[in-house]
Amino acid sequence: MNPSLDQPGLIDYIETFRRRRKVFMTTICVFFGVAVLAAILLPDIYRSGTEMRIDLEGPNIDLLEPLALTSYADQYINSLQRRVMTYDEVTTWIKETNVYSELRDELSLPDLYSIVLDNIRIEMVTTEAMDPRSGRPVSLITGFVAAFEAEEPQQAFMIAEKLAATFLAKDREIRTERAAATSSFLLEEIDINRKKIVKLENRIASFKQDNAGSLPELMGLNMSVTDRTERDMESVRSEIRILQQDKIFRESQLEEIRQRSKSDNRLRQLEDEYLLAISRYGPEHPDVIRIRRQVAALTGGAIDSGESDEIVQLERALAEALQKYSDLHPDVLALQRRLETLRSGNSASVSDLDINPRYLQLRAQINAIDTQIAGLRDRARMLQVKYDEIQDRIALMPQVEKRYLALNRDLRTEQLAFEDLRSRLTQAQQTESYESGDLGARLVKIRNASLPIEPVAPPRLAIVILGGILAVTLAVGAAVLAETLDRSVRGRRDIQMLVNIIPIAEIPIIRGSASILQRRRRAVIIAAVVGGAILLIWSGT
Amino acid sequence: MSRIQKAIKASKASHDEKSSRPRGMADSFRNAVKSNPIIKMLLPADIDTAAMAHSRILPGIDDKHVTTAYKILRTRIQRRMRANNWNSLLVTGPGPNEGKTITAANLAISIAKDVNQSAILVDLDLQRPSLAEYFGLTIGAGLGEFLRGEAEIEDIVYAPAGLERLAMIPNQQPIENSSDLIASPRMHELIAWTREQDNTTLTIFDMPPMLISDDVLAFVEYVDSVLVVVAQGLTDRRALEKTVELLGDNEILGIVLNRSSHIVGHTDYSYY
Repeated sequence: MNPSLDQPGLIDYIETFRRRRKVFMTTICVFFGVAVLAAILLPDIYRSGTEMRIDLEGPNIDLLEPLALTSYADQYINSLQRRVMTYDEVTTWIKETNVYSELRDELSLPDLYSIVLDNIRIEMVTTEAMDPRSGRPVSLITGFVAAFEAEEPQQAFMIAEKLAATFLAKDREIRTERAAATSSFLLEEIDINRKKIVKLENRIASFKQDNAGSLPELMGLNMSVTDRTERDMESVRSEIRILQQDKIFRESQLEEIRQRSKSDNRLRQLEDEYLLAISRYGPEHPDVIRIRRQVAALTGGAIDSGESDEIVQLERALAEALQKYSDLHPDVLALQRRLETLRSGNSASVSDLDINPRYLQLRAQINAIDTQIAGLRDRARMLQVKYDEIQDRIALMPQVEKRYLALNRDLRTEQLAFEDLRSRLTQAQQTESYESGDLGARLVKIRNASLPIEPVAPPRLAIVILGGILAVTLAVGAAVLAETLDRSVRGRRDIQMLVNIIPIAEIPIIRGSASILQRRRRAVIIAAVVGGAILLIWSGT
Repeated sequence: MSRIQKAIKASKASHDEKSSRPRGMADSFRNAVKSNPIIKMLLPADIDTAAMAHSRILPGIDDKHVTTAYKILRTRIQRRMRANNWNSLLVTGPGPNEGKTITAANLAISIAKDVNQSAILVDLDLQRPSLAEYFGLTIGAGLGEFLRGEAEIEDIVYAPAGLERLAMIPNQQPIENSSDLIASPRMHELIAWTREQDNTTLTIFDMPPMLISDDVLAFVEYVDSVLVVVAQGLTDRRALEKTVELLGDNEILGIVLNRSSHIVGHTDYSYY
């Protein structure tokens, strides 16, 4: 038995191909034909583009800090692109350049807009560099090409120019916007800050008003006032004390006078009685003796010797006191005054108090002392009140100080913030004027768009080659599919497997001579068509 | 047992005996084969070579691969027939358009080209007769007339001009009740006539597809062997299995693969 019957070999594959060549060839013809037609019929595409360098950091100026827009070039390009390819911008180009005028009647502006968008090409320009962290080569975006593709070279050129101009304008727009946003934000902040400061200042003013005496800066004053008040109080108190002693002294004098006038009256009375009794009874009469004793009692031992006795006693006491104390001691002074009084009283005896001028004088003096004391007492009370008040204020001072300091601290903080904001605003305003000018440009035109001469597309040869590859692939697929789906007898081996009979003979497909001729003619025609097409494409590219 | 069956038996017996008794036309046919001039007893018929080329009948084919393939087929069939002492062959297939008629005709022509052989080609596709058309024959009566009793065997056996040692029994009119007629006494008569020919004469019956008509199953018992024609890319695999299954015990001489993509001579054939 032939071993080739069990395993499919090259022959079997060839046979399969022969069986399916109709499907195979048809598929190839259809798809390759479409590819060739596409390659021939697709219109030329012209392309015009502007190359721009992108420098995100901006030019280096020492005094100024340019805006940190973004750290990634592609991000910046994307944000620019979103602003450039807006409906408004694109339709403005269409109107200004009058491109697609032949399509204006058929298509609406939104349709033209999407056509333009489809034909814009943004291609990044990169450069190879080393990543300092990983040490691997990375590609950095250093710029991009903004190009436009169109069937007319003039159209491509005009739109490309508009595209580039809009990119540059949008670069400035972004920078100006960002910078202006910073300064307007700072202005707002400054306004808020200023309001805060005014509020704090008002609060501090009213606080000072409310706690006028307890402010920490009045501490020294308060202390000196306290000292003075204390001294005043002490002097008032001592004055009162002296006055009181004086008063007591004068009162005792007054009492003495009162007593003397009283015993004088009794003595006169007794002397009268004595004279009467002596005259009546004799000197040994008990009554006379009794009276004599009484008189003696009043006058001190013997009649008419009483006063001198007291003076003797006082002189004795004074002598004793002078031994103990100095002349200025109040006791000494008091004894001296008493002795003087007694001596003067001995000489002038007053019978009636009301007419005694000494008595009256003393009374008036005592009254004057009382008035003086009352005045001093009032003053002492006033001083006490004042003193208490100052003490209260001093007691409040730590609390007031605490709050006062807090308020001042807040004010200081706000003032510092204000200063800071002011300086930042100045900087932001500088940045704004820099960014809104040409100096801050992040995009720089490297190569201007030019009128294209050679078309860039379509890649006719590539379309044909790819179309051919695709056609062959599809054809193989179609053949395999047909073979899989086909349930018919496939050959000798198949028959043997099915019914275990080896065919007695195999008759090839019988073709008449006419059909052979026909096939040859067809092959010639196909070859001519394909060859012609390829020639056409060659000449086209 | 019917009269027809008796007749067939008798015919088979006489065939087995290899009786050399001359019998009218059969005798003359055999003699003609042996003497190898144009058979005067048979009705001469003109053929249309252009029609034959169009119908892919052998003389019109100049494709070497095809003619070689037919030669191989003829040789193998002859060898097998001779080995088994058979001389009738039924050509059928599972379905239509598989090339049964072309195969039968080209086989008959190939066999007749051998000077030691002669062939009788019978169009037994009663419902769709086509041999006459394929050969471009202009004939009078055909098998239909014979079966209906309107003509005798002598009136329907033709000798196509230019194709020596080939006799044809064509048919021109489609016959509706074919399966009734296939077992009719007239048919038995025809079979008996073919069996009367000597063993160098091979009778080939072109018949309708197995799975479309039951004619083959009704007729198969009257032939020695069956040749199944299969067309690559056309014959359903299940139909082939079914056909072989239906034929069952009957002798399948072989299967011919038509429309083969396999080029003869490119690979070896296994001989047996």
